[in-house]
Amino acid sequence: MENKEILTESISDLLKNNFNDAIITDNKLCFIVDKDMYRVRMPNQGEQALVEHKRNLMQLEYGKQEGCVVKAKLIRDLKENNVVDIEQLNEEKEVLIKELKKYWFILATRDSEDEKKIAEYTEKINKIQNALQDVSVDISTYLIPCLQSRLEKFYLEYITVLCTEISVDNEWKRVWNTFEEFNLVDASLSNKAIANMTWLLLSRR
Amino acid sequence: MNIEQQIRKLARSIYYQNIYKSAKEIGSIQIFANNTNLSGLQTLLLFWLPIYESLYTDLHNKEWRYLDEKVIEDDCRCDAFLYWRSKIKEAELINHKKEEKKHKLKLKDKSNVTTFDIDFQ
Repeated sequence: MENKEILTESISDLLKNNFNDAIITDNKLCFIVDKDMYRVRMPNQGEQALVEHKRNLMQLEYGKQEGCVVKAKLIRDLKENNVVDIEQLNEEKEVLIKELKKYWFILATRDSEDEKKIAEYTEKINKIQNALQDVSVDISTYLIPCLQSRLEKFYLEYITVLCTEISVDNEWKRVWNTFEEFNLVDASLSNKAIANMTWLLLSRR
Repeated sequence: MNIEQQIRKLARSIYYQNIYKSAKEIGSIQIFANNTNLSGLQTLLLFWLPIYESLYTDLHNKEWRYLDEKVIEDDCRCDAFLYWRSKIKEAELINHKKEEKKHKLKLKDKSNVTTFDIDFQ
């Protein structure tokens, strides 16, 4: 294909899909709260090292607190007290994954003409994926009090404090100077910043 | 549309496929504004770019009966196809290894070695 053709095709593709690639052009994500423009950015090495250090200190502090429990013990306690059996939930997930793979296999060998069957299997797959999501959310909700989950939450919040900026007169300025300031602020802003930071980091951790 | 769907849409677009191919061939072409400290979203795009490239290559070569553009466009059907393709390739690899093993065993068996009667006179 000629260069010009490639370029024309690329541009028409951009227009056709109403392309929004702002989420990946750089390592920042912008969002708006109450008409103000904010962004979260990736932490630099120094900030990352600082957060790791703070998390280690937090681990020592949580360890001293009453009711501090590690994941494995919490799973055991939940089972012994007949609250929930996490292992069983994980087994449920395994069964769902097997089911999902079965329908993937069937769907993959359908011709595009066979629209009815494709719609039927796609719906089944969506249902299984939703069920999988529900079980995963259940598991993580039950495990919120454990040390690992608390440290994960602390890490994410601290990194959000360091890397959330607001646009003031075309300049980016840090929103919160301390962790305490972040904890006092309106939850709608902090929650949105955390959500964006979660997306930005995604599988990096 | 959730963010992952959006990333996959970008990864299968002609625009990003072209940039990806050019970046592989010409080192000076960058996909992102930043070279280092990639975000999780950027890493996810880099995960999907070669997958869609392989799908387009297979489609071009008419490698699979059930692969067409509609499959590539539909995330659910695309996942299903990728899983199915990986299983087929896995099975092919196992068969190939079995054949290889059988072949080696045949060579080890002395009765399989061909002998010739040579007349030295």
